[in-house]
Amino acid sequence: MSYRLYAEYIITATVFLPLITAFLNYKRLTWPLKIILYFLLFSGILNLIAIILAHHHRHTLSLLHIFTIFEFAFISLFYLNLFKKSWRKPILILIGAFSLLCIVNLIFIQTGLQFNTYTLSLEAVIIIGYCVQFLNQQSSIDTEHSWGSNSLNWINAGILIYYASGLFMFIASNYFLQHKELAVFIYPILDTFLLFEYILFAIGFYKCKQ
Amino acid sequence: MQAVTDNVFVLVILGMAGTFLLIVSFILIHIRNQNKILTQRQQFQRAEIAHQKDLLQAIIESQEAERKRIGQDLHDDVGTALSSLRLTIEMLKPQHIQENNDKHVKLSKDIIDKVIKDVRNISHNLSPPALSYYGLVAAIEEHCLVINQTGSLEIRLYNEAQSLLQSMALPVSVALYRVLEELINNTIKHAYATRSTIKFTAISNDAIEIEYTDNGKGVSSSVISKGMGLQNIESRLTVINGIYKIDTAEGRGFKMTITYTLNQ
Repeated sequence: MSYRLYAEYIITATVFLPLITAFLNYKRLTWPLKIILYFLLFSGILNLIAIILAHHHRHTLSLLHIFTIFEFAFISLFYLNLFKKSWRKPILILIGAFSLLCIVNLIFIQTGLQFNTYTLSLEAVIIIGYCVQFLNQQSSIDTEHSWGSNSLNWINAGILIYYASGLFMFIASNYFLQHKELAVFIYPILDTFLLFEYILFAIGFYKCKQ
Repeated sequence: MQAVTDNVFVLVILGMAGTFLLIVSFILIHIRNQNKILTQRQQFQRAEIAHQKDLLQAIIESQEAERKRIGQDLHDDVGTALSSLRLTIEMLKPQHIQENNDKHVKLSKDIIDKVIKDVRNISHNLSPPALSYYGLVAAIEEHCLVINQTGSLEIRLYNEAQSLLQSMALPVSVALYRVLEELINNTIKHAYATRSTIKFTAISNDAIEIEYTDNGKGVSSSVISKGMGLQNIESRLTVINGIYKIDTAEGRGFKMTITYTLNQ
């Protein structure tokens, strides 16, 4: 019961933290930050739909398959706006190819009754790659400001912590689907990483104000 | 062969915890390195600015020393030589003079008087003696007196910071004198003003404010270009760590407020 309270309500509600910060500073938000804001809005709405469906005892895993496509697209578009122009075409191709792979996976390999561990893990690996490339790019720029004053650094740190720390969880999701008694203990850890991500996003949106 | 009995649950938790620690450490090290590089760059920039300031100060000081030397040479050597020449002409005046001869002597003496006066003015302008002997206000007063006598501009001087001005170091007085001289020149050349005011005020125990205003045509703030005059003012004030603010608009005169803190 306490797990459901934490995962379904508390973590879902914490999405309001970055959302409120973003809306308060909306006029100052740059285009990449607006993409993150729209991503948060999208994931918040989808979470709400998943909670409602779960209360009506309906399967919600197929929603996760669809969410993965949009999640990858949003985050890829965020980094597409931060990287050099030469990255534009490969990232767009990657978005198209990954979406196709997700659909094929949903229809033929891991159906709506299973976790999409293949695509979810692949997505996490690619996103970790984006994060490392962003860090690499930031290291080679002669910036006049401290690390903390750049809102994009906070967003990137949030994304990196969540996807890198959650990778093992994404890989073993279907194992825990068969051992639900263990899942109750392990999912709050992933939710805590999500909480970290939201807090870092909120700081990122706040720093945009300065 | 023995069956694998590893608990996947424990392994996944360990994997997640390990990755989390690794990533957080990675980010913290990255932040530390980036901030360290930034601090080093800022230190380097500060050192460069300080070096440039020292160079500027050295240039200004050598310029002032050279002005003083030329001024003294003009006053002591050329001025004395001309005075001697005038006396010599006076002594050589024939006893039985013709009218023509008299006129010639008078004309020569007038020319020498004019040259003596010019040499004195030039040497005073190069390095006003009043500045080192009696301080900033006396030197400015002397300069204003000369301007007021020409009738082209009326300058009024208000001094409400006598004790602070007396304790001011000579290089600072020289810098502020040059700034005010430049402002007066600008007023005469460009402002078409009839009156200007210089006001010295003590704003605290160790800070002084100098307000210069004129009732000229003024200039739009966006048009103020950093020409030679303003550049000179800026470099002089930078060297003494003085702060200035310009307040002007077309048709509304010109105002510059300079703030200088002693014992910096």
